[in-house]
Amino acid sequence: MNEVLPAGTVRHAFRFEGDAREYFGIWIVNLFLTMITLGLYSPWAKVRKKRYFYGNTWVAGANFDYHGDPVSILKGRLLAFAAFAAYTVVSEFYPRAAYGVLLAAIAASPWLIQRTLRFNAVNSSYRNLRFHFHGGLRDAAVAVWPLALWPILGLLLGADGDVPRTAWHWFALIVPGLAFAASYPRVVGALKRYSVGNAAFGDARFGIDLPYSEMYVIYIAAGIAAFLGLFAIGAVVGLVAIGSPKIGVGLFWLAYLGGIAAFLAYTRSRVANVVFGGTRMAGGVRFVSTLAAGKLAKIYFVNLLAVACTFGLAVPWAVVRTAHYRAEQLALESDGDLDDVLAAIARPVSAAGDQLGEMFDVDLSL
Amino acid sequence: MNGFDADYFDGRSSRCHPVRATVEGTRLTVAGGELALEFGRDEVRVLPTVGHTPIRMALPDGGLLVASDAAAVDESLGIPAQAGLARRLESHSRAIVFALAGVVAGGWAVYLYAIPAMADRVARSIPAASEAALGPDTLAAVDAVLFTPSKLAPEVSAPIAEDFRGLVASAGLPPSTRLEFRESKVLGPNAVALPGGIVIVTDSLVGLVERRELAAVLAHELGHVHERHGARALLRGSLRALVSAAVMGDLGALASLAGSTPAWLLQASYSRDFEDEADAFALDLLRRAGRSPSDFAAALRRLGKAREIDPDSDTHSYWSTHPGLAERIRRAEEAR
Ligand SMILES: [Zn+2]
Repeated sequence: MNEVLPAGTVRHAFRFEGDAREYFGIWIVNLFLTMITLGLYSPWAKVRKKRYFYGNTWVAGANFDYHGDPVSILKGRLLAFAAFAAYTVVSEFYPRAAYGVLLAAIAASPWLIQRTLRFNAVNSSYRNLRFHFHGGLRDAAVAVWPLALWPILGLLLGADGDVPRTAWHWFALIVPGLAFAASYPRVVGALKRYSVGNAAFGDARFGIDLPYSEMYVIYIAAGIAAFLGLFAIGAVVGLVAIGSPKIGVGLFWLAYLGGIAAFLAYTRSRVANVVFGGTRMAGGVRFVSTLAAGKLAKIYFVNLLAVACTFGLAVPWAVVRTAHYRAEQLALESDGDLDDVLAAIARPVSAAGDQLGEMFDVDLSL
Repeated sequence: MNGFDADYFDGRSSRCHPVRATVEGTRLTVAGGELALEFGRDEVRVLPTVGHTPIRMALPDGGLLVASDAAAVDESLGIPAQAGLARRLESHSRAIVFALAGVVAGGWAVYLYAIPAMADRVARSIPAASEAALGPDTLAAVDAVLFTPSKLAPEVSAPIAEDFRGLVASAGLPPSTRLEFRESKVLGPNAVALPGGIVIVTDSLVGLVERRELAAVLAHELGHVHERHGARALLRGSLRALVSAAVMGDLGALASLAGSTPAWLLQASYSRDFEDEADAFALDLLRRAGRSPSDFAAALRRLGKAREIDPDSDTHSYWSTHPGLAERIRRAEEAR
């Protein structure tokens, strides 16, 4: 059924044209090359895969393109690998120091987030115009600072990795965790505001209207559902397991997968719908995202089963079918011809203003 | 005269211009609507393509030509080999089959050999004190899911604890190695060694076997402790999750998470090589402690029989479902 749009409103649905069989070839060849080069090829593989997904994503008669430089990505990955190795070693031998390392990572995160968002924006294009990112370090820090509450409180209260035995132990363990849980929806919302609100297509800035209350509604609902779901699963599986432990274990595993799929699908679809729904561009260009949590949960559940049963070989099939659904449920809307509107609002940014003088590009997204 | 249809984007606005590109001699003309441009054919750069995405051509004026008909572009401009090498490999069926075989073989080797070897190296570098610190955490975790308190009377458990201390001393293990009594509906007659040197024995096992045989089972568990199988298995698991996450991304991490759920913990058994190591250690320890290795054979036989009587009840007892039970019994009997 076609939705009736107001007169003059033009809607362009996104479309993903990738094909699972074709992507399997790309994926396996790149995985093989990554394997025999002991991971050094992985940035090139990443660029190939990104270009496949960008190039196959179409809206309003044109597709996207990705221009990331594999060498920049390699540098970022080596940095991340070194940091992770340091963290593993430190937390293995000095469990108490883990909070300190976590703090250091959080202190560096505004810089990492800003660089990654800028790298991805500048290296994405549509209709031969690059995207840009104007977010500053200060705003990134303002968005993520509540995450630091967790390790700071943990250090202050003297929590360690041991199993809590006294009331104070419990307190020291629970309070930082609660602070983290309470600030998490706000941090997710703030990061979405930061990443969308500072993005631009050419020189046309995106704007976003995203109340934090919406984020809290989503995560509180998801939290309550997960809690009740755990109880229900526990009760049913427990009853079955009394009859037959074998079936009980199998059922538990399926329920566990289903739970993960449902939780991820619900939070991701709701957040995507709210974020896209609140995103605006000059000239009245807007997004409509209509992801259904149930449909997405079914897709995730089947994906997880397929990937687990094929030892990972079904990954290409799984990501392609997810991309199909996500693209199908996203659309651009404008008042009047989109080509005219976009042409009127977006101009290229002169190179001097942005990338030049950039010594060290970082992309830390996996 | 060759040509192809394309979309032209000038790079100064997002406007899409449908055009016809024509190659004549050394010139490329781009024409459509009010647009009429001309470039040197050598100035046009065909960009690398992935899969069946359209061909992109960078023009010297900063513009971009996008054409879906790859054959027509190749015929008129010639797609340079370097723009298509990766793509040809990725779409060549023999290359794909070769890569698939390589990945499966490589993945198999990494999973079976590289990861265990790496995990064992890391495990050896962990100080015993750090591993001992893991013990109480793990005990609390398994207590929550698997166990209920033991109902054994002290006069039953005390002699067993005494045997255990004797074995620990004979094995030269640290005195922090300790025995815990529990009951478990799920595990049935069973004994478990946790990382950090905690051995758990269930009431049903105490009820099933003789005191001498129980000591032999404890010796086997002490083998797991001595060879640090708990920490090694833990490290193998997390390394596997890490590697599959790195290789497959989001989905791989989730799938391997699914593979490491408490559901698997319920059936968790050490790998065959760990069991063999623990068996060999137990037989040796029994001899050193002045006991008989045949006690171990007797314990295995009794556990095997318990399964025959009630095949469904102890599906999760790795003691009895372990493949090669007969082989283990034979080895225990031959070790004199
Ligand atoms: Zn064992």
